[in-house]
Amino acid sequence: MSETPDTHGSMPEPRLGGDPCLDALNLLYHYLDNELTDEIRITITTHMQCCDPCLSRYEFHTELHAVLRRRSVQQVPESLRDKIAKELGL
Amino acid sequence: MADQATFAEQAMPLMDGLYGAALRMTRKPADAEDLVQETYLKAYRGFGGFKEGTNLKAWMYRILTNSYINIYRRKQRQPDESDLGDVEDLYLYRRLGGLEGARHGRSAEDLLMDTFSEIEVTDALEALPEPYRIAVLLADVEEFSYKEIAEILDVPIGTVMSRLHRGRKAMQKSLYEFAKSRGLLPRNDKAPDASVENEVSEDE
Repeated sequence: MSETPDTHGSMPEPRLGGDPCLDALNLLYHYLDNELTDEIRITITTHMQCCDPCLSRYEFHTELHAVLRRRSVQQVPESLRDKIAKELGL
Repeated sequence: MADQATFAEQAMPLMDGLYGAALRMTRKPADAEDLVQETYLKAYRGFGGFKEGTNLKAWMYRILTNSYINIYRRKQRQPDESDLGDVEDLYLYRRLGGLEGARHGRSAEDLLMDTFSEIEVTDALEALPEPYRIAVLLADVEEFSYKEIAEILDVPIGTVMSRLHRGRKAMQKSLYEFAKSRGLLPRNDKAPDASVENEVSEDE
């Protein structure tokens, strides 16, 4: 969908405010969702390497996200897969 | 022009993910199967209009989401926004931090896997009111970008971010309630992470 023109408006770009702990906190979800520019991502990563509270917060949420993903993986029943393939003549 | 062989090759492998999403949306295996079938029929019929080289996965999820909303939304009593408990940011982290402190040397991974069962994690997701549930599902489980989710749901990116933010907080509250009801947590509700003030802003 990268070719679609952006008709959905845009959010202000996430920016660094100067306090590294506050930045790491405020941009936590942008960071986890991979929605930061490389420059900001690197700045926050560098900060977390020497700040235990920020690192711990980040690790907790990364893992929460991973648990949700792992707990949500499903396999479609074979019978449904066959039914759809047959119906579409594939 | 996208053709039948391309559809088989590219769309059929997406079925596990679409089924998982359908299950979280409808909460019932039989309804999820119908929804996935409907999605594939519509996608197949409309595949001529799909521009090759654009994002097929997002296109399929858009059809799934729209079909779900059209077919099922009216059939079920949906939890609405007033059911969405509003809690502060980092809710679960701050509360479980007390537990973590009490059991030194455990990783966040061990802590979370031990604390929450599969059923509790999926229940917490399924308990979210629909717009929040779908946003969290698309971001956290399917790993779509904010922009892709905005396009799938046809809402502004700011709305996506706001739904994610609120949905994730509400999920954390549910998870905390589960853990508390099983007596897994210390009584002490003191926030261990209070050194940094909460300044994440709402945007919807």
